[in-house]
Amino acid sequence: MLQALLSGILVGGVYGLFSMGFSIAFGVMRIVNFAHGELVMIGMFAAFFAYSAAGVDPLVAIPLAFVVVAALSAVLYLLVYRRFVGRATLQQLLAAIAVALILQTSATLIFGPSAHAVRSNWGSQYLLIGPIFLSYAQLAAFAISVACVLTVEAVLRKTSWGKAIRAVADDPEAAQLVGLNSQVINITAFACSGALAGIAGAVLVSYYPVSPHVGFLLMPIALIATVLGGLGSIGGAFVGGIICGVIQQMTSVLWTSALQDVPLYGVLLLLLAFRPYGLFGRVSAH
Amino acid sequence: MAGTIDSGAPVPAGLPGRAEFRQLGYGVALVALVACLPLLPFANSYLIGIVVRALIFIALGQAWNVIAGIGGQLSLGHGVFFGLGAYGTGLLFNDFGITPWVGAWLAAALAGAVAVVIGAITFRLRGIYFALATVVISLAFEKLARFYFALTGGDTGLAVNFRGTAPAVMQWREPEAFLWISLAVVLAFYAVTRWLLRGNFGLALQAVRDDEEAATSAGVNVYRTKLLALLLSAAMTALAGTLHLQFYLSIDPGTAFGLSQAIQIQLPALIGGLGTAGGPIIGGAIMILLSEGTNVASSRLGLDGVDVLAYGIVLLLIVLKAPVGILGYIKSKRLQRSGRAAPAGGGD
Amino acid sequence: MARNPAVLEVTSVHRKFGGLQALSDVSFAVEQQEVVGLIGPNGAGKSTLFEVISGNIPPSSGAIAFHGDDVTRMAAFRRRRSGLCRTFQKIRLFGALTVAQNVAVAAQQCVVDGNWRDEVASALAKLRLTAQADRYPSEITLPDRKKVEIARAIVGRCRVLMLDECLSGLTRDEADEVVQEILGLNRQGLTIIVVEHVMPVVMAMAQRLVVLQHGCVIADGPPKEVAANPVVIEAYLGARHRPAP
Repeated sequence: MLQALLSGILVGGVYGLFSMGFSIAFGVMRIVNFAHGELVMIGMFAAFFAYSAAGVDPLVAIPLAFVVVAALSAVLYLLVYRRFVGRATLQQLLAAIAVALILQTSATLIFGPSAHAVRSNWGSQYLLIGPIFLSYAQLAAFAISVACVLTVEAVLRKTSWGKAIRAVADDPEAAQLVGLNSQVINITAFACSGALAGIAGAVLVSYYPVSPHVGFLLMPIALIATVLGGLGSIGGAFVGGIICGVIQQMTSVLWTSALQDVPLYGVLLLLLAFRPYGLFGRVSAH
Repeated sequence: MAGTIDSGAPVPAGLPGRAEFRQLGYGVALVALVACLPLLPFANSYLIGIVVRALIFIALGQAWNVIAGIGGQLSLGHGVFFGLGAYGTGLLFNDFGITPWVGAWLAAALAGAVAVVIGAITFRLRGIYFALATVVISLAFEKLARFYFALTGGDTGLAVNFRGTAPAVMQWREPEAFLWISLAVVLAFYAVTRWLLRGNFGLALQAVRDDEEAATSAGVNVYRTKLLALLLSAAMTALAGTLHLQFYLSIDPGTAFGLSQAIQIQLPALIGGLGTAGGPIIGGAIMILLSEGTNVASSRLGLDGVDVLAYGIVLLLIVLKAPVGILGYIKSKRLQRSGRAAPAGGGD
Repeated sequence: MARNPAVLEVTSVHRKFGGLQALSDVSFAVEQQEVVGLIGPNGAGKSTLFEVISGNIPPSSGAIAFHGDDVTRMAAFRRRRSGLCRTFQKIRLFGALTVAQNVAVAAQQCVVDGNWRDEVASALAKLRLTAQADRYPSEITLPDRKKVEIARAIVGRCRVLMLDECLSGLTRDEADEVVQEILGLNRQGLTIIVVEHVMPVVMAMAQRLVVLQHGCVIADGPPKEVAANPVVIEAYLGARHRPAP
């Protein structure tokens, strides 16, 4: 149990990282980016590509994943999401699903449908503490995630850009009145959302095999973590991600790893039905 | 969408206008053509098979259109009902020897029951939250179907015990019979859609789609109306699922519950015109041309998944460029020409 | 109260939103065929009270009786079916349905005896909308849309009609036209509650005024009496002289 709890927290750190990206897109622009999991997947492939082509460790390839996915996000924003800012409409959801499908099939056409794994000599080793063993790869992933999350939080709190983003996420209508909801903020926020997905992808691929379908496993986690943390609460999404990781690991131990996501889906349904504003989010007039 | 492709001018009830007669004529001619297709000299199994696929597409689109187009509830989880129809019929036949002629209705009833449960939970939610909840339910079904392989056949799926041509169990070697059955289903679903667009229940449902609070203030039981519409839509989807199973003789979790399936169910209505009776038919026909074209392309190029890529691109283009679909576009043009503003509304 | 039993009776209704007390101890009664104006400055709780009576917001405590039956826990759509009807401040017609179909939706649910088609025709005739029956809401004028809202609200069984700022957005002439229709309905026996924050309009229509401020009833009586009431003058003048938030 303790083992499951600890590895759940470690895995959950990465979930929290890309969930924060999802949460920024939702909080600042009210965009439910159904393709967010695909952005993580692209980040994973970018790092994997660096590994297979040049033997670079995925963690060293983080800047590459960061740049690739942030740029891709900015392009997607300009081509598609720009039209839906501020309105979480059904058309927006359909458009995002289409983007997810396009990214997923493109990846299949380029890399093939099968899974690829990175084999580094330190990543498969374990740290033993009494009866508990923790993978070095997961420990490193968690440490990097926490570092990124703290950086993002600091940027959000200290810089004027971050303050603007937090203000918009907090109350989009008021922010619009003050003129904060500008294209520049939106496009950088969306790129930032993608950058977090990219970093998470590079980190994740160091211990988790990448396949074109992996995005569709990750998107629900981002969604659940965001709802758990409170829609629009950016820091809450990180906590939500950790809770997701723990629920998954617990399910693997107590039931079966094949169905580790099913209780997550149940949690999301219950939350949506009874607490649509999340655990930590404030009730807004929606 | 006020509905059908009838003329803009008000027509006294019971007296169809000339435009309606003309459309009726076209409709009868089209149905006759499809029904008599096997008699034509150039017809072969390949061509008939394509038409059957198109008809199944159309039936699925019509079923989804009931809840999404007329009821305004964007369900992304219709794969669940499709899968229940297909798996339900198949399991009843393989394990209990129940003929699909009966099994189809049992599976549809099961899908309806599941729809009521899903609706009871998710209809507390509106708009995008309802849509997200249905995605998650669909994902859960896919995982469960893959895991419980003793029941479902796991990843490889379920294959129907094939007995050759055996009309008693809805099996034929040749596709002609499926052509007639699926044509009948499409016609029946068309009638259901027309009834919904004009009838009492359908008016209440459209009122709920346009404005839930106003519908409540008009005395409509919004929750019950949405539940009944979902039940109807789910049962129709399950019947189309049975057709799919009997025609292809197999079903697997990805085909039943996967994301691309959920999108394929939506495309006919979205392309043709959400909330219209003719939309899914036009959209389904276009879909099948698209799918055949990409199939040829992918086999030439030796690439798999080009069709899904094409679906994604088409979906994106429709949402961005033509959110009202083909019939909605024609209707707004026609209203503009006759000097009337287009009626607001649609599937939002 | 002795001469006429109350049609609608609101008894010590409270409603809290988080820390905000939107309604506190609101009580009043409406008699058969009365026109009651429910007035008060912006934010006085009129809209909340309106939603509580029509059943869209449950009261935190208190009771609402309609024709002697307790309807406090009755669903909103059932209240409409039993004859407690309303319109919306911002027009909310079903955009994809014609005028006749808009009214028909309500008629199908709320006509208890007789043919609902006849009731639709008669409701449209009452508001002189017959010529517009097959048009869409986007094709008719604003006053006509307001009238369609009223027709949809009165079709079938309607015993009390609640109008939420039904004159807002209309020109003076248009408003007069709609007021005449409303008074005509009242002469035919309908009980009417008008919510307004513009005083003169209500003064002309209502036989009695109920004034809300900060969620409390501060006056209840004939228009002239209420208009002369110093508390009401203070509430209105005070609100008007204070700068808008």
